[in-house]
Amino acid sequence: MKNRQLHRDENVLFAGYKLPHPLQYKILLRIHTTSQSSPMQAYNQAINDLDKELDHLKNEFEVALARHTGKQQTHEY
Amino acid sequence: MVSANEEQRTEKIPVWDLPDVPSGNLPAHLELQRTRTVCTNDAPIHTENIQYSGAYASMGVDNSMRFEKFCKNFRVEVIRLGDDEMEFDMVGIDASLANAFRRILISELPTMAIENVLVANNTSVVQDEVLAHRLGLIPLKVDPRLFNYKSENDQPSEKNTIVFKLHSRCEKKSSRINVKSSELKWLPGGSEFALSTEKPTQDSTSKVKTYTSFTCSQDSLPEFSSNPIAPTHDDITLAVLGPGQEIELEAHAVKGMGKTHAKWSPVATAWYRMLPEVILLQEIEDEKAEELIKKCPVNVFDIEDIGKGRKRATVARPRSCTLCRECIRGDDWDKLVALQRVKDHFIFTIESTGALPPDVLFTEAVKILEDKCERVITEMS
Repeated sequence: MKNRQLHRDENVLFAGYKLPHPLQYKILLRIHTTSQSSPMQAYNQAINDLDKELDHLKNEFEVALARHTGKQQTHEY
Repeated sequence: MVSANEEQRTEKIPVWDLPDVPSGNLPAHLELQRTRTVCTNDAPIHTENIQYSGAYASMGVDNSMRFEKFCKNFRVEVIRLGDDEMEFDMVGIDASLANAFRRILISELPTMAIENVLVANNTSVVQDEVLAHRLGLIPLKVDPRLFNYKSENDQPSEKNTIVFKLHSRCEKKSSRINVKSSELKWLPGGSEFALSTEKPTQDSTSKVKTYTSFTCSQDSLPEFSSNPIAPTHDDITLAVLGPGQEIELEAHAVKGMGKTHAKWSPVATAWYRMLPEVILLQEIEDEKAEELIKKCPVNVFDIEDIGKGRKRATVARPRSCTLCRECIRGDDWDKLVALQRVKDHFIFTIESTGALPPDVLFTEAVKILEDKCERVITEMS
């Protein structure tokens, strides 16, 4: 998921990850960026964006839920 | 985009202005490849997600992800919401996010389940460990957010343990009885089995040390005073007792995650599928139409009359398509019907075991994913 976020960033030239062994929880992440930003910055940006997206997702879900229960109640009458 | 200078020279029209090149949009076949997975007779094609932001740079289309674009395209619609089960649609997210939610729902949402069983007497035909295993799998109707995790060094207290008692005997001369989960009684005051100590204390005024140290009774807490803790279903058979057999035990429930053991998974299951799309590539009339609607086992197609006694097939319920590919089996049918899936429209179904309602489960799953992101951010800085 972080990879997807990194790919969406225009400053990232290369982003990839590798798991050296499936039983060990270790991930090697490789990011190349243009001279406009550093890899750390791109990575931080990507994670912050993901965080914001999740927040938005949660809010939308609650709105949709409220809409649905509201619709159900009007159907009952 | 033709500036004043260029007009004075020869008619040099930039590539973007040629009439048949749509600017800002991809041509139809590339858009198909980007947003739909086509399910042919053999196997699905175009299954990968085009993630790279510069993928369509030569066409002038921006594939990069902006937060605003996500907010604009994202949509949630709840189709069905019951006590135990819910079905809802999420449009505009990626497959990796959908899979992450599914995985978190199954394995990383905490629940309460019985972990330690103290057996005082078991003369039934069900062995101790088998009975303990069955007890562990019983879903408990209690909100796990009110409890803390209990590690190995922690004393069992009212903040991290729930104690149940099961005492059942079958009298001689009576017939067999079924021990159901309704016989698990909640003990809000903690364990009743006394710990055996090396030095027996003489004074009877001190409290007997039991296996748990509850400082206050659990039903004095406001959440539990009106709804006592019990298993979600009363009719789960735990054991069968013949005449003269008895079971007396105490079960302690703690908080855990599905990752450790499946008994701590709060969902019976959670799955998603992508929205199917059925497209008729040509007009299908008369006998072919009749044949088509007979082929589909879930009645996706419908017949409509177009006058003069002729009939035509239409796609009425693409959502119920199970992609069995019956409609494209046989010769030449795959030139008439195209089966596709929309890559960013996911139909989620969550079936809860009863501890928490399914909408709460999903909100908690999103919170857990947010927590993980924040943890990574703080680790990095």
